[in-house]
Amino acid sequence: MVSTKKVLLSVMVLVLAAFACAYAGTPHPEEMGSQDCIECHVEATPDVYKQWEESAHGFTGVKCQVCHGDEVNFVKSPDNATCEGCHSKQIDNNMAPQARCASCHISHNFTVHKAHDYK
Amino acid sequence: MSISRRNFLKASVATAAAASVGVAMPKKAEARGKDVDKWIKGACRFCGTGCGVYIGVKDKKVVAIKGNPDAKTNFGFLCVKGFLAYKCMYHPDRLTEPMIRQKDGTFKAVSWYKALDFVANKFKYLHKRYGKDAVSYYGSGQAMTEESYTFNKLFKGGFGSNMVEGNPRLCMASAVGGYISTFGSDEPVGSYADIEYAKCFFITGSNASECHPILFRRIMRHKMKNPDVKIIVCEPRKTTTSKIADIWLPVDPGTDLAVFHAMAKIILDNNWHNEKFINENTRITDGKKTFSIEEYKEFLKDFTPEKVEEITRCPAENIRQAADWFANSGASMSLWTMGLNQRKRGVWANNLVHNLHLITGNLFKPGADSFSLTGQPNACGGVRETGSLCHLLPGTKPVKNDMWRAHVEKEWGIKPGTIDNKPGFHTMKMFDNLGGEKDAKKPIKAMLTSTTNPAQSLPNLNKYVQGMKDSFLVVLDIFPTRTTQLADVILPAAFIYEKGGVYGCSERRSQLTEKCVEPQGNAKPDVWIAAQIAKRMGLEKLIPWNSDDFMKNNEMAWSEYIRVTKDTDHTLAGATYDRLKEEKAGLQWPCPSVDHPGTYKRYVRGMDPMFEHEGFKAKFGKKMPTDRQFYFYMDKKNEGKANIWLRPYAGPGEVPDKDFPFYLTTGRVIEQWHTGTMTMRIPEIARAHPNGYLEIHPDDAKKYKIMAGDMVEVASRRGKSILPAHITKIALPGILFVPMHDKAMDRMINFVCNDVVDPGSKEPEYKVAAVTIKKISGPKDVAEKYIISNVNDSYS
Repeated sequence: MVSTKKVLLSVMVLVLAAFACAYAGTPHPEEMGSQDCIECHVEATPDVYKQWEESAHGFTGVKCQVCHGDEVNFVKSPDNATCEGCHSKQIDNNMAPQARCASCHISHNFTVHKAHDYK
Repeated sequence: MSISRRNFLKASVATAAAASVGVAMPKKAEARGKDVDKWIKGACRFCGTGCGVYIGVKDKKVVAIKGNPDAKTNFGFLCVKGFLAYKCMYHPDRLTEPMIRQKDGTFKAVSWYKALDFVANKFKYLHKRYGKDAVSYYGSGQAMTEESYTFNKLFKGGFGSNMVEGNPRLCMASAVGGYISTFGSDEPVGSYADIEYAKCFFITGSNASECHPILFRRIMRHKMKNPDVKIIVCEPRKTTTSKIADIWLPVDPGTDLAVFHAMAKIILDNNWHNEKFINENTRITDGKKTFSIEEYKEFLKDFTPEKVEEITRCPAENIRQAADWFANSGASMSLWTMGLNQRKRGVWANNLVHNLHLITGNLFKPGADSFSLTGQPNACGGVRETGSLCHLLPGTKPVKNDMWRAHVEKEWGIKPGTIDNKPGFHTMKMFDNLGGEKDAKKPIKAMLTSTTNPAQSLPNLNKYVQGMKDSFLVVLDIFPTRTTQLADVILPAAFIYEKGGVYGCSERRSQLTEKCVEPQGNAKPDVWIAAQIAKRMGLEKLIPWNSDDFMKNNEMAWSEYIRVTKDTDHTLAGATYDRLKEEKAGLQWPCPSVDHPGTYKRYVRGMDPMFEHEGFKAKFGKKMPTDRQFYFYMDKKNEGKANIWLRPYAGPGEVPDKDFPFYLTTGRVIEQWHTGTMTMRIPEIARAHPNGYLEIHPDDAKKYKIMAGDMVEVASRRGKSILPAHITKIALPGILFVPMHDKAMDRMINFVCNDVVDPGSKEPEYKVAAVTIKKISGPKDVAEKYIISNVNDSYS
């Protein structure tokens, strides 16, 4: 028979795990060791690397971990709060605020807003 | 309470997530930001760009940061450091208690009262026993303006000691020397706003893409929108800055003076110069005599592109093309940083770039400027403008200037004659003269350092470590560093967002950061620490801002500073605290009154308020002829002219030879900041740049049988480092590069670097050393992200 203590412990673990997932995102699918993201991705996802390299992010040194985090806090698809760190004006003028930035500005060769369209 | 590093990372994720759907100052954005209590306006902690930020605070903790879209510097964008590195303020290694080193060599945490009494008593004793110059201050271009001003006042006005220096001596002193000797006054003529009007960029001695990434973004966007804009990059390494360049001018380190002269020669020989501008606004001089344009041409006759190619390895054709674009594009803007400044002839290198602007008239029109990019966030505002160097007083005026010294003494309410008219020692000389009481050859017995890490950042470290160890060394910092390892007392400092204050960036712009949260543990702002030391030394009247209201202290210091300097060419009299709180983008000096909007271009009638500043004219005896549209009013000869300098060619302090056959140059990477004490504690950043390495050309690697990742010893006449090889064609054969951030003892490259100084600016030549290399072993994984966590770890 399962004790109440064990049930409570299991529930607590589940709640904490859910909390951790909600905040820490999904763990990076591979162990990263001491490698930088690009070292692996240049071969693992060459198309993504090429798109990034030719984008404004690539030119200005906004590398993988700026948006996607490190191994422990890896985020596969960054939310708008990440984009807002640099693009708050664009977010303020977003005509579809319920949508994620990346749903229109396809990663990793992002298109750009035109400042004169803003209020 | 302490938390592990892994938990720190998770906690920082959680706080970032808590700040999700962050809040902007605009009302619409505020509505979204239920997880952030408030956004507070401030400036970025890192480079000299001066990016405006909003700091997100929740439950009295900083949980987020974002760019300020209204800022005139960054328009809302942030680089990797600005975006991530503020999180270091909650790292478990933060210093949170004052500590005194015990007889057994370990540190013991003590109360502030005990620590401050100990420091003040020791300073009093050494001051009395060995004279006023026995105590010194070594500050930082990262300290707030109020902090530098306060320490400068305490030492020069309180102790009567001009032994006041700061790390801007190591980065910007040659730019200061260049501006003052050419234009008569420090800091640029124009502004970042020129970027969007420039038709040609001459980027030399700067890897802007990594060192000033947000300004590089502006240049890149401008080029993207206007493909006809020309970009010339003159650098020993073909860095990522060259990705947007139309032409690269490779040069051997320290030889570019010849390229600048060759460009001037080509411009003059082809009649591309602006004779009217030269005649009306400049004098051609060697410092003794003045010369005609024809005589200038004669001086340059040997600097043919072909001869210069022999000196520099820069292709003659590239020099010709660069000269053509520079002179004929319409509006040219030069940008440089340490590549020109950290040189034995750094002032001359600055002069020769200014020459190109003066002979072509590329200065006062939109898009034209000769612009030094400052490395640190407050080297300009905090140290250069407050005169926190051994030869200066507030307003960037020399201590030798009798009128100004008397003015400062009067403003500070101290007896005439209190401030020494003799400059103190410049940084390298100061450290060379620092030692223990038993060492009669070392007159400086005590030093207080703040916000800097000289035990890692000085060149030729082997020469200076013992002096720091033997002297009475007080270190203010937020983390254990190589310098705290040599300290007698560690005073835990508050982080920028825990104390607030003003930063002044490269473009003469001052921006106020408001205090956002309370300091961690018992950490305190530098202003409070300085004031408490002053109080204990009987100098409370001199530094009265010693309350526990940190922003009030800051405001008192700032208000006094702008009053003391109100009649100078650097006036910020109109930039009151109330106004700086309101202004979303800060203010550019000269800003003489509260109704003045700040100045985009200096020396231009109608734009520069100094033309009408009666207090300035009276104080400094200036007369502005009404028929002059442009007037360099700080010209020492009072003719309103800038100097075109005939500087002879001079190479670096040492060049490769049989025993040391390579050039070594050092620099930054985009992720890391200086000695990595903050940035290496950010996991995302540490992963991107976990250790130093040696860049070597494939031809050289082959010759020395070095394969990728092999451990290689790089040695100069002064010291050595052992680093993994990174084989790349980024530079010409014979040139090696090492990034400067790694603090692991084997990889601290400053043991190797040269400490020879520029005779004018006294800035050391970090950028050029002659070295030899030797393969030590096969590859080793040294991606250890090395940091110092334990204050009791030794300097080894």
